[in-house]
Amino acid sequence: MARIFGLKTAISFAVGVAAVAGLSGIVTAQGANDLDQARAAGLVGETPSGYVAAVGNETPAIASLVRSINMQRKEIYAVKAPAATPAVTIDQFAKATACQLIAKTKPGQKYQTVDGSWQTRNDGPAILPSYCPPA
Amino acid sequence: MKRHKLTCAEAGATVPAMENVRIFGSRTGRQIGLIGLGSLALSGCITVNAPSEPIVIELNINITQEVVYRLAKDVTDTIEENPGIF
Repeated sequence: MARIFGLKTAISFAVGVAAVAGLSGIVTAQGANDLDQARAAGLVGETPSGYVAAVGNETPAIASLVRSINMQRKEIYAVKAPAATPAVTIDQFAKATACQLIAKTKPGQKYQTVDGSWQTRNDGPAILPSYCPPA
Repeated sequence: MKRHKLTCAEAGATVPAMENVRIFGSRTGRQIGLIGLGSLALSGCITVNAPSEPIVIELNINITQEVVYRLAKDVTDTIEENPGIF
């Protein structure tokens, strides 16, 4: 009886996980479009922390998008950081990513400097944090 | 005493007051003098050099260009593997 119950629980758990995984897949697909659009519109920008943030007043939709993207980013940082040789902290990996993300912003897009101010990328190089190698 | 007068070889290592203490013999007196000097010097060092504020280690800069350089490949791969969120 205990065995059957355990099996049932395991199956329902697996189904639950699959459902969640499917959902997050959809969220990821939507997030891609939304993130690109939000960045192009200057509503969301890259920060020196390796995460995105809303620029100016955020709508609930933007806030939710930012949360979703950052949560997924952190999950990836959490996998990649300890796998690096030698291992680094999540924060270090995130900041190293920020260097590249800010460097590759396109003209017109927003990015944040270490003092917290928002900049609009122009045709010149982006203002990178001091820990970033010169682009 | 003759040596002392001629060369002053050991004068610097003794406290003048200690030279009059002859109860324990001159050598012991000098040793006590040395210990006295040593602890004086030691306590002096601690008192003078003790920082008035706690030592603050700069933790804000927890990442260096060297780390970023080293991670460059991993980061590039990560961004390419996850186009939806980067």
